[in-house]
Amino acid sequence: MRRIIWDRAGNPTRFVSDILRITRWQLREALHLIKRRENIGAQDRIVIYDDGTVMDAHGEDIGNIFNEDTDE
Amino acid sequence: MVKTSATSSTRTRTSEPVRAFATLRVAGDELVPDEITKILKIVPTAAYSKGEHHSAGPRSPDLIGRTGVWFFSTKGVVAGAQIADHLAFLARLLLPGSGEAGPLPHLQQLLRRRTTLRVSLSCFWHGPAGARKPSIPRSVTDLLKLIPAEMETDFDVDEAEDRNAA
Repeated sequence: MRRIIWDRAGNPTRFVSDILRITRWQLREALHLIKRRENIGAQDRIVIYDDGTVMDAHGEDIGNIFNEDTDE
Repeated sequence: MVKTSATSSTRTRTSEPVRAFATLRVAGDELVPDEITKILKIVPTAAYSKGEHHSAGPRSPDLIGRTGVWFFSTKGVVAGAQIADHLAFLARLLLPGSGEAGPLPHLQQLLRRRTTLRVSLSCFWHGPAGARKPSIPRSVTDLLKLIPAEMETDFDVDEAEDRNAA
């Protein structure tokens, strides 16, 4: 069962990127693109699950970190 | 797509480069994405109308647009990590220079006709711990007033390494 690893506004900490086994810049890039595409502010609250799913403040699925193109 | 490290969750972070890109977004209930594409003459990174189904990728369910969004990212289009270069690319989309008026008057006309539409630029920047965050060129802030558009900055640096870490 997936679990929530981030549920607040602002930029997620390294704790979150470490759980997802990606770098923090990859996490931030992916979130920025998801939020822009879904018309959400960069600092707005989101929820991240340990499978990469991202939900907005209303609990709607708005994307997945691992969908985004952030290759090194 | 984001790739995970198969061998370790700890990486050498000191050598990680600066990352930067910028985005241009037009959003609103009255948005007709093709109109923006025709005005700016560039294929968007993503675009959908209000109520339209769109894909967020293979790991996500289809989404329904709560409002219309036309969105272009310079990531993978403009090389380098100078945020000014990425912003200059977006500025040239609107004001190509060389004496031509370019798409800006057409976009302004559309914004006057469809008052629910909002234009915003965003800047993404990620640097190493302690790095100085970039500033936004004056020419860009002037352009934002002209459109008119909002600016959103998403600047951050790596967290400092734990001094006790091996």
